[in-house]
Amino acid sequence: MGLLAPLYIAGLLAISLPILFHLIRRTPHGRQEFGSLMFLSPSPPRLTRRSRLSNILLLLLRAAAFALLAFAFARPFLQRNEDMSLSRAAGKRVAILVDASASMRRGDLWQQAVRHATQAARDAAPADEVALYFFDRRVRPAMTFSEWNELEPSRRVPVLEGRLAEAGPTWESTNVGDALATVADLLSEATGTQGGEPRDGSRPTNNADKTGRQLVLVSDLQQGGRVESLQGYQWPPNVLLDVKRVAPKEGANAGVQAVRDATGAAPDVGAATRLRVRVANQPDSKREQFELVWATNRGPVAGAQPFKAYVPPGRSQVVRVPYPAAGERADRLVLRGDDHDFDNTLYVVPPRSDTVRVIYVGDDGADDTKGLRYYLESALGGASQRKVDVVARKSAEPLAETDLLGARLIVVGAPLAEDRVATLRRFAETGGDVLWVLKEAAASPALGQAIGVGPLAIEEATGRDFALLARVELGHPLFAPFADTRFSDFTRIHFWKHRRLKLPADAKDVNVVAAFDNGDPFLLERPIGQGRLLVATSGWNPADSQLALSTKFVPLIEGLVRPRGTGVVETQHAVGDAVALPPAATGEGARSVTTPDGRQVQLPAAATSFDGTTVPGIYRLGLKSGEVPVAVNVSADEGRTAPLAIEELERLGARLGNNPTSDELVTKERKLKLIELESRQKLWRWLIVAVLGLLVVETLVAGRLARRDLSTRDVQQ
Amino acid sequence: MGLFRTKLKPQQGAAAPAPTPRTAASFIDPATLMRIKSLQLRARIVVQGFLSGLHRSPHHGFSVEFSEYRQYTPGDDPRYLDWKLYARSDRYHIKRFEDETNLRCHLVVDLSRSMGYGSQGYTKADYARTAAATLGYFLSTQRDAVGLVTFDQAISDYLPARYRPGHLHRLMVCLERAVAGTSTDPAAALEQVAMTVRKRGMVVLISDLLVKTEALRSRLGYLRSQGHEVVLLRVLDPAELEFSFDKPAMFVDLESGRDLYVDPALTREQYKRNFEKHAAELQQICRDLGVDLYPLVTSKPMELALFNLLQSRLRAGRAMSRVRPGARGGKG
Repeated sequence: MGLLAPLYIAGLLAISLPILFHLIRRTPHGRQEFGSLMFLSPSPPRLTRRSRLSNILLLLLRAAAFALLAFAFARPFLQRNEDMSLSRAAGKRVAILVDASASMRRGDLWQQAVRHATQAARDAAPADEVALYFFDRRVRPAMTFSEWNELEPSRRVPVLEGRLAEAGPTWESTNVGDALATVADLLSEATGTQGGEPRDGSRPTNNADKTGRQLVLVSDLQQGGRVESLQGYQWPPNVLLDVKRVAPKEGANAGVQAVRDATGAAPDVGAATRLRVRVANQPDSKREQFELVWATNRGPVAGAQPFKAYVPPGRSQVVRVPYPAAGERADRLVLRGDDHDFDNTLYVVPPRSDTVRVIYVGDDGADDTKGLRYYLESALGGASQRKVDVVARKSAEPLAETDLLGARLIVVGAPLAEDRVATLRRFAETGGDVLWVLKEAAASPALGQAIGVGPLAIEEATGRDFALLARVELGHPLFAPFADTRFSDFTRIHFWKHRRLKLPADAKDVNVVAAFDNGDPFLLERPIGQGRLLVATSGWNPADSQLALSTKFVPLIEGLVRPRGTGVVETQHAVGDAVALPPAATGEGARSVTTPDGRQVQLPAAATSFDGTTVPGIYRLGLKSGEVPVAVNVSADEGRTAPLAIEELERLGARLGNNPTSDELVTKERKLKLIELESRQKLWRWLIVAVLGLLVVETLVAGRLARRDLSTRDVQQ
Repeated sequence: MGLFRTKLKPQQGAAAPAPTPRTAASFIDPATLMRIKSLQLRARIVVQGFLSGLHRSPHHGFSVEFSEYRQYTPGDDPRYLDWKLYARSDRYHIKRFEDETNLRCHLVVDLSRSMGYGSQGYTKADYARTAAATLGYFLSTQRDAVGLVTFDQAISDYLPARYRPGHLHRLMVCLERAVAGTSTDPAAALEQVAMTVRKRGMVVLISDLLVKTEALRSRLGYLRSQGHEVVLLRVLDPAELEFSFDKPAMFVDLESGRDLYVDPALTREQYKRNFEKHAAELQQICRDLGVDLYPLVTSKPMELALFNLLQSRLRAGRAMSRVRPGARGGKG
């Protein structure tokens, strides 16, 4: 016999109540009539040494009723062995997801993670299936369920431990949300035993609905882990998440990152003499004083003065750090005073310094705000990336060969004589760029000669108050910086005047790079030899347009003086980001990338990006136009190491919990069978009936005894 | 016994009779007396025994005839000469007429259920009836008018004070009534007497007085203010005085039927304190109002009740003679 609720047997203690009652309740031996009770007060019952149980039969009946009632509440049942046949407990599937991002490099976090993962594998029952995954911004399987099943049971855990030993944290950022969603989907997709037929040859059963699915997340669960990507994900109902958090024993993190400007583009290092960096201090930090010092791969630059930064916990501060002297070749800024140094090095592409010669042909003076030259020199003079030497020549002056030596660009801002065209064409043929700005309709026939089409019909465009650029070839290298939709809106620039240029039908190789909304071309390009001729039908002087006053003027002019083939290369990247490559120059073959550890990676000519940024450092792109350095740093989010509450995962839809072990499942099933058995037998009903019967008998006996007492007293009286 | 000592006052002009061993031994045992079924017979036996006992008393000068002798002086009415005394003393003396006192006495008898208790083999009610019958018989022999009021929670019977043939018999019949009622209210009975009896007289309340004392105070005071002589004969059973029970029992109130589990060993002291406190209050009320309070313990002889009444009767008669001008035999 068994009991479903054995605790109710404690109700047998209630039997002491009637016993106590029979001892305490001293039934008065008689009844005494008295004249008045006005001077009497009731006496409390008391036990004496001579107390003895009275009415043993009544006591036994009442005690028996209590006992049967307690027994009934305990839900007894008669157990037979054949009733307890249990189905073989199915194993569960366990996916161990280990965080291998850069933040796991702190202290002994990785070792803790390895221990947790190993323990999770060891805790698996023989019938369980285990898989191992690593993740940072992507999920990488280290051991799949099929691999686990194919191994001998005795080798499973050692092999998994070996995979853990071979792995280590990367430098990439964390994406916990995507990782959880990916692995949860993998877990919930399983049907029956993975890998096909069961080993024992029995008929495969569809245990998918009954198999427990457990996802074990081993991570530092940092606030910068991008867990919010779980939002909107429908967590599988049969997958439970168990979080094994690792944390450093002490210390908190501070990090340094480069500051991008408001447009999101990389900072124009040529436009300032100091580097803007942000020092961020985590909320759980106990430090406030930090230092920034320029360094190379050999260590801090000798004699370099550290720059102090005071940042309270939970705050960040932007610091302007002067670039080191030109001869120091420092390529990194190191943060000191932090407990964890994995994100303390900011690799910086040093500013380039080259001299560019630009020749302006025109009659307006350098300070003539109504002309083109004033704005051209202003745009070229602000960048510290390169030194621009503007040589001005009057339109009537001849261009000497020495003028053209080293020149990158010739800007023509006035009508030219035809005998100048040959010089311009020679310049373009050798790789130079010529920008002919039509300030007036009365351009010289020289333009047609320069283009190579003969006389051109040029007239002043008429119509509305202003024209807008409606079509811009954003794939052209000149407009590539504006390819992002945030920067591709040219409609804010009004063109008050422009010239309508009608090309003859036989004009060849003339591309319209940009056109107005009325269809008239704004910028035409004619390749000449290794260079090109660009014709602008409107100037940037205030009388013609607002171009010089717009934010797009400087990048346009910058694009004109940039050596062709270099394009705009983003110089600041995070580890794991793909580095976009500029379009290959004409005749450029395969390109290469030199990684920070000195390894050289060859890229095909058609490659548009390089995605091998696995470690932070300076990568050098080998382009035809020259070597372009690119800085790759640890993601700023990875520096946000303050712990995230586990409840946040639950709030985003994850189901936290642990699937029961096989033993627990067996116990649960056994208990369910016992409940079912007891519900069939319902012995408690018969016990209640017995209790009621006892109470009826007790009532009859008590009444009979009371009547007997009364008659005895009457006789005595 | 504290407050319950026998109240004997030496009377002016008369020596107070001290109970002599011979006198005490001649009192009738109450248990034996109660075996006599006829109430009138009981009363007569008690009276006759009392009178014979008093006549054997060595103390002279005390006359139950309530008479007073003085030497004859010229001018006195010769009809009041005591010829028997002349035959004995050869002197002429004038005797106060017994009928001159002519007391009106109302016996107010408690016949509630609380009087139905008794531990001596007879109840307090039996004792009270006998005491009342005895007093009534005695007063009748003295040619005093006797009235009767029996009560429980209300007045049951009322007989005005009369001295006529058959009145005593009717009184006995009323006394024979069984105890009844669910409570005791002597105040109602006393108020009835106060409202109906206009002439001064004596009111004898025979009860156990197991009621709240404040109600008694007002009614007794009312009677006293009307000039009545009030006597309280408190009938109590010895068990009520000593609470001489030894076993716990369910004590049942005879009047209300309420029962209470009482362990005498635990409550005896408290009971006696409460009882004596109540008795002290009664004593104080009687002292304040000039009421005579005499305990009648049912284990004591009945004659004591009679003796106490005589004391009161003497005082009442003397007071009345002082008040009435030209009283016969009085000093004038």
